[in-house]
Amino acid sequence: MEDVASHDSIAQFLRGLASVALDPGLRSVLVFDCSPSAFRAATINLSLLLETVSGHAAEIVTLTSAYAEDDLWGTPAILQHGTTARPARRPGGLVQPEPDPAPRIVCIPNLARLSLPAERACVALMDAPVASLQRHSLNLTWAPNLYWLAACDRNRVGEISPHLLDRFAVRLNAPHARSIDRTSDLLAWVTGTSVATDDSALAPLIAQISRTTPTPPVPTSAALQYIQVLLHDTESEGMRRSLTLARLGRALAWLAGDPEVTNQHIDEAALIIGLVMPISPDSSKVETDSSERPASASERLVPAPTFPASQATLDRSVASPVTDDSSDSETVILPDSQVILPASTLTDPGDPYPEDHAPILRDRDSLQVPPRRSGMTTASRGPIIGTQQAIKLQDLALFETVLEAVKYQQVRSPGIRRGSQLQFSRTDLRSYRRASPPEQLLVLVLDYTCLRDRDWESALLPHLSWAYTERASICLVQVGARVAHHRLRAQTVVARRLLSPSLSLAFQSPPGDATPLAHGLDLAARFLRGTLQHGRATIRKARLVVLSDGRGNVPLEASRIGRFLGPVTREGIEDSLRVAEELRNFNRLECVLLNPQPRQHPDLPLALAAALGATVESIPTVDAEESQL
Amino acid sequence: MTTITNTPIAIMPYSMIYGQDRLKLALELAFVAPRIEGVLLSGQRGTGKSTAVRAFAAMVYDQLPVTLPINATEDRVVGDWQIDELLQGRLVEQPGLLEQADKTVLYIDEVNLLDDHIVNIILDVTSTGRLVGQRNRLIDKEVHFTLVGTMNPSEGGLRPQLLDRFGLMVDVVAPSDEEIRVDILQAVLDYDAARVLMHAGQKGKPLARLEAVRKRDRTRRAALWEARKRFPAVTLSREIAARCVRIAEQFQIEGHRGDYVMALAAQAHAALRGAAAVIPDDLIAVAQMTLQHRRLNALQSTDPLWSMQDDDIVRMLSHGEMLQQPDT
Repeated sequence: MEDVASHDSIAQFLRGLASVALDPGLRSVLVFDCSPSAFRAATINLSLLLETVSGHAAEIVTLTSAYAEDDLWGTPAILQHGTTARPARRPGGLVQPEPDPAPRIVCIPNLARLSLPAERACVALMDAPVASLQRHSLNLTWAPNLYWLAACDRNRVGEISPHLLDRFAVRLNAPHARSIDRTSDLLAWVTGTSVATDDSALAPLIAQISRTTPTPPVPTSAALQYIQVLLHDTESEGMRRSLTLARLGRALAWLAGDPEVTNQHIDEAALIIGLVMPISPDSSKVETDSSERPASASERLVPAPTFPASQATLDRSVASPVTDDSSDSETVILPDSQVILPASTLTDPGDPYPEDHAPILRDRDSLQVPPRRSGMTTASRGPIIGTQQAIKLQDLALFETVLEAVKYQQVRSPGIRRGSQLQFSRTDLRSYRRASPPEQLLVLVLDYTCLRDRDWESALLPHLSWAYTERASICLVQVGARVAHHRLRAQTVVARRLLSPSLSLAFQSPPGDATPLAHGLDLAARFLRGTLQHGRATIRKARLVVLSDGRGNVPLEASRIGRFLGPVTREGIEDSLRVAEELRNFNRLECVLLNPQPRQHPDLPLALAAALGATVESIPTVDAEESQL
Repeated sequence: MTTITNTPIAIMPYSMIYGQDRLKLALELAFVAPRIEGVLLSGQRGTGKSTAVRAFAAMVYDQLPVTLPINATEDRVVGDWQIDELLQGRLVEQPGLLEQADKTVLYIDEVNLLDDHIVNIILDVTSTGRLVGQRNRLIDKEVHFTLVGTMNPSEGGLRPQLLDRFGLMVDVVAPSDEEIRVDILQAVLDYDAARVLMHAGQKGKPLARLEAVRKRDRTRRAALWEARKRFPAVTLSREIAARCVRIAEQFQIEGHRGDYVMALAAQAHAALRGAAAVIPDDLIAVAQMTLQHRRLNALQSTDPLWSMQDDDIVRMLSHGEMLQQPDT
């Protein structure tokens, strides 16, 4: 069922779009929490507004997670005309090589799921007065006439590079949904007559645009100073936000037919983007302590594990941990993700810049092309990210090779006729360039209920260092963590690399009151089975590190059905040992048990190690360490 | 394929860029003394780095800088044959970007996002001064350009070898002074308005202001070319050269490139002042941008690259004063 959005919020939303269409400096919009149908409606509305301003119908290009470089920028192609075929170029969605006054809207339905080439393209093109294309013999420079419209769930901004987010000038909240008459809505939906938004506010805006003067309004000095007041606590880097507010205010004044941009227009602009205004908007200066300025993104990483030396040795460029006071908050589980966030870290609805507060959920250097790693036998396994000149006959890109050979046919065989064989040279060969899949894997089974008074971080550090050095992917199995979805079940957190914020957060969990060790080992076994044994596995070596005292008190069956079937005796322990023996039989798996040396039942971790076939490394107690000093 | 430019490309004039004096100084020094060989502008988002580079090139060269985009393919970087001619059976060279940038500027926006493979090519050329290619066509020619890169360090660092190719590095931050920030807003909005009027074929005050700014650009351009002509005659005394070395040693700069670039930059600074000889103030003006990215462990540390204490050290050593040693 479609909810009908309130008229006021739609009108405000449309005024935001109209401002983007009108002001030449505002060419990008990011809409938060927008349904697919509302996004489609926004695209149509923006195209109508742009058509009014430019006099030309806007083209629409949609970028998705599947877009590769050639889709964006153009690709060599072979075009057939009747019975002949000739090399040509298929234009990419972002290139406008011919003089074309028609604006082009680049739509991004889900900014958090954009492909890496598309993200890099956005960073290069957005807000740029000139674009340059230098690919596959093409040498092109042009003034882009592009408008950008993207949608993003507010709670996923942490997955997006702030460098990319910053390029989006105007931030809008999707019009609020409000049910008016559910029966009418249902009937309208069934008959296909419902609309995602009520666009009755569009026609007056179009009329207003048609009446605008050629000269944009002039901002008053007071208005420009007022912008500094409004953004004093929000803009810690650059001046894009100030510029956006100024341009938005100017567009609103322009729509209203006012010759000057005043504080009132700036207030309206702030309202449209959801900026919280100071209590006294007429004040010219707000005195604030400079220490209250928002922390930069690098200071707001989710709390790192408190490994005393590990953070420094692993990577000093990771920022210092910040205090997390959300331990008493109710947890919220994000869809399609194994990351669990405390509710207090979620951003405020309406905040136009949620990236200032959102926990960072992306890899470091997320806009960089994955490095090429030489000597890898799995070089032909990762996703394709481009082509390159081939140095061996593996993984050839046949189409690109043929195209390269076609270029030289006339030179190699002058007067070549149709039907002659294509002549190839070694230099024609092209192979695929692929993102490097990880070849090493670290699986950590961490029993949170036995960590007390143990220097477990130091014991874990060599294995984490190995994972960091080998660029191993990581699977953390949380056993007995308080944040678990179900207290009788273990759960996994998987990360492509060690320095993943989701892992940092997972390590921080306090202990729960149950120890589903058998289930944790079972999850590890399933994960390893899938990774090492199924299909075109890329992992060449895996290391399983189990940190536990062996005192699993939840039988495997209880974990599976979510409740105890009867009084618990040794079943949890027996089940753990049985699953551990299964793990012992895995190929290419090295097992290590970190022994917390419990005072009670000190034999249990050793029995677990024996079942795993694992080497044992002892974890000193904190007391024992202090006595050695 | 040939270069196509469709609609006129509008670049904000150089003299309309406020609040980035160090950034502008670095670009001007590298222009006056091309042997400095490069400027890296690293800093916050939305601080006008890319705008300044384009505006500077447009002002001094009357054209945009040769730009190497981050997704460029090797054939366009090194050069290849023109495909249209190839298909007709004729071999006609198509110079790559590195050749096109010879004796001017090669600009790389978001330089830290550049593909490793392309970085290797640039390193080869900048370290040897020769472009050598053995792919589809043989090429071996001398190529020298001023490498200008802009980057946001939060998206990743640079390989040390590439960092070293930049003679100067400037940390770009947005001005905090409210008046300057208001000036910046005013300038950008003025420029927007001028463009709207130009597009509509109208007249107005923004256009008149734009013309006044362009006149200031022409004056600055003349001064820069004059400084570049004057540069070889600016003298560097042995004493000042010794102070360059002393400063570089104090900051534990590896190799000699730091002192070389500092001396060149100081000479260029003197040329910009219209002076005949380098004085200590010239050293003080250029020390940070020549040395900060060459300090030991500059990349590994999260501490700021330069401090007020460093300024004090440079000031004292530039004037030939001895540093106080700590009591033992």
